[in-house]
Amino acid sequence: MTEEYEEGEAVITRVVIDVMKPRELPLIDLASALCLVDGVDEVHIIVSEVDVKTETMKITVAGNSIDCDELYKTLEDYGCALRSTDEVVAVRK
Amino acid sequence: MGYILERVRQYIEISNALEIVRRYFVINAFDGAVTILGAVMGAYISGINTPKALINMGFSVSIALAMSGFTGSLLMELAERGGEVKDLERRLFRKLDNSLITEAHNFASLVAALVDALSPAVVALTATIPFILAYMGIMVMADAFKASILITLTFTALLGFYLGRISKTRVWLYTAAMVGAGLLTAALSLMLEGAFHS
Repeated sequence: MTEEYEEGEAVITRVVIDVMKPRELPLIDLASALCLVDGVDEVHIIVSEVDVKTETMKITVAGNSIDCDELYKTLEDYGCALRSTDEVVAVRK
Repeated sequence: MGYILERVRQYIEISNALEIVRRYFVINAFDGAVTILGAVMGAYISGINTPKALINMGFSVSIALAMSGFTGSLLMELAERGGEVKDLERRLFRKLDNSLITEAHNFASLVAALVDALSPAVVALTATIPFILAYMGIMVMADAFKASILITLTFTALLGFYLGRISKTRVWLYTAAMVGAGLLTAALSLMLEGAFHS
């Protein structure tokens, strides 16, 4: 392993997560809140399943250096349940 | 300040607070109007004619309505909404303590309780104003009774008009129904006087 390789820093640029949210929570509010997370440039939400009280959705978050802890904390604060992380893109800088 | 307003907007949207508050406002303002009308009519047919007695009665009725409204609504809303949050927690497989959802429901419960407390109390206090004027010597007691009853009936008419506007149909019918209930209360109170005198 070269010295140059060890000096690199990995940053997350894309995360795709499967999330369940209460139906009463407006989608726009959630998308706006996630967009304000550190390092996030873009948020895509697609609702895949609608229940009486909940909605399941696929959230794609893209940015130059996503703060994943803050992202998950925001989801938690908004009353969402993280079901799985389906895709992650990390880039060395 | 912008952050607080944004949070309040979210709370209102999530908890559907506006609709509930509107219902509480109308139901309890009407409750306050009819209650104070009944109390004033009771005082009138009983021959209670001192402004001080009517003022004390008006304030006591207002306090009682406010206390009953606040306690009843707060506990009922917290219980009802608490149950809904628990149901949601079961579906989401997580606790919702300290989440926006719980905060929104607690906010709505408190606002509903405040509206439930203030709306009947304000109506009852307003209907007491003529007796305060009589106490200050600005108005005679006979006129104070008439003015108080008129204020109460005006409130019922305004509430009926407001309901009619919400329903977007038959404004006059809602107004007449609300005023009719007030007039019926007054009429039944007067009949009570006849019943006990005969």
